[in-house]
Amino acid sequence: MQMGLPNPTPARIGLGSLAGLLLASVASAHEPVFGVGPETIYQGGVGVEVGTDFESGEGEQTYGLAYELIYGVTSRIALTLDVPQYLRREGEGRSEAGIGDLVLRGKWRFWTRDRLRSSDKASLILGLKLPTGRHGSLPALGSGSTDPLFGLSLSHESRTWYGFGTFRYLLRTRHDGIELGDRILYDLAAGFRPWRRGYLETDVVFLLEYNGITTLRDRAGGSSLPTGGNLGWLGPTALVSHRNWMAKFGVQLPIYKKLRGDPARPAVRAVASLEYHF
Amino acid sequence: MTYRQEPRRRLVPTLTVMALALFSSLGPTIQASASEFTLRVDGLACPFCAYGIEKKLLRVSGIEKLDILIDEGKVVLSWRPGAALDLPALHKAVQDAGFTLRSLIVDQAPGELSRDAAGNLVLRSLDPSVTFKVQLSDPASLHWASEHPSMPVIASGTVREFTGGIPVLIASQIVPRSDCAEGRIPLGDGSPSTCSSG
Repeated sequence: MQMGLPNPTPARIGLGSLAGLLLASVASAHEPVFGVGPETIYQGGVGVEVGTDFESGEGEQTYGLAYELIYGVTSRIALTLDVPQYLRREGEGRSEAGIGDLVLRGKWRFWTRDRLRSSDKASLILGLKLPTGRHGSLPALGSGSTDPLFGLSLSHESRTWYGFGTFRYLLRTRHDGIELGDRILYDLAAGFRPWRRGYLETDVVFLLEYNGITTLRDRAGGSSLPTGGNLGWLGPTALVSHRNWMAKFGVQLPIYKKLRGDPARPAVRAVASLEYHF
Repeated sequence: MTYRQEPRRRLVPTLTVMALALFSSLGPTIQASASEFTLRVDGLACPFCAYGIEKKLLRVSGIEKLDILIDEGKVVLSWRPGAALDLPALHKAVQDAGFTLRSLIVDQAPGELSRDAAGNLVLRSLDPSVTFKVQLSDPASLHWASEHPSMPVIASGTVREFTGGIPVLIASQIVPRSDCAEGRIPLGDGSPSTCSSG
């Protein structure tokens, strides 16, 4: 415990408050399963995604559902709402369930280079994480803070190859007397389509995704606390689509961990979700 | 003579669309009498992404169904005969779907060839408000068109510049609009008296 304040456990650092930021995002094209890409959706289009996710770390397990809704204001501007729901979150000998922190996100695809059979895109990301998850409980379901988010995402998409790179900065605000350390999220993904499929045929794309999180130190009373650190996950994902349906699957293993004052093993995580556009 | 016969021979199998562009305050339109148009669209890379194209284009008046050829970057539109197609509406539909419309491929654009004040070849339909600015990519057709600056013609090619101004028909072939009987080839201005004998 630090100065009578909530203990910065691995759960607080790695899992609960991030569900809405990390899970698959809805878009009108292929995007990383564990990250975010620059894709938007066609003007007036609506996308709905329902997914299930599982995370298992040392002394903690999480089973949840994630709901995501996207709306295309224009073909270049999309608004997204992420709603994480914890069916069961176990940690520190206790179990909790409920809604996590909602994330509102806007994307502006400010640059596009379309060519025959390929497209390069860049988008700015703006978002707000709301403190809708219970944070006083153990394990916590949210961070308790209202945090703005901004970022930049780039992609290359062709008939065979995909590449994504995204940087997001979560500007964490004060909560319970603590200035929470900001978070930097970075996603890298490379994808491959083994079979070229035509329209109205089932299409499969495989990705290899790396997702990293750097959490800066919390501060209280003008002093830095021994919290935060770096985490990195790597794993394969698959996207299977047919017309306006897409199924997503992914597994990630922790490959890098350097958390201040925390020897716990970070979580293995898995996601399966289904997306529909209309 | 050869350059007149050759384009016609190549054109005959592709008779699918009659296209006219209307230059008015509402923007250019195309009057379609046959069944298909083809759009060249850039940015098409996956079947899932293409759904937006389907959704947006099927809302454009006159389009009955479509086929998306991702590897060719083409969208083939099946058209209600006689319906007028608003070119800006087509452009906007593709744009709203998140893609880039490069051109509209026209198989037949009948009209009268002439030169404007700047010396550009201009294709006019029977309706004087309907105008194409023509650029010829086939040297033989260009030579022939230069020698016949004012006569009924049929052009085939692609329409560009969908927003603002007169749409430009990039014509790869241009031949006399002929009143010749089937199997006869126009040798002069396309009138029956100048048709080949067999």
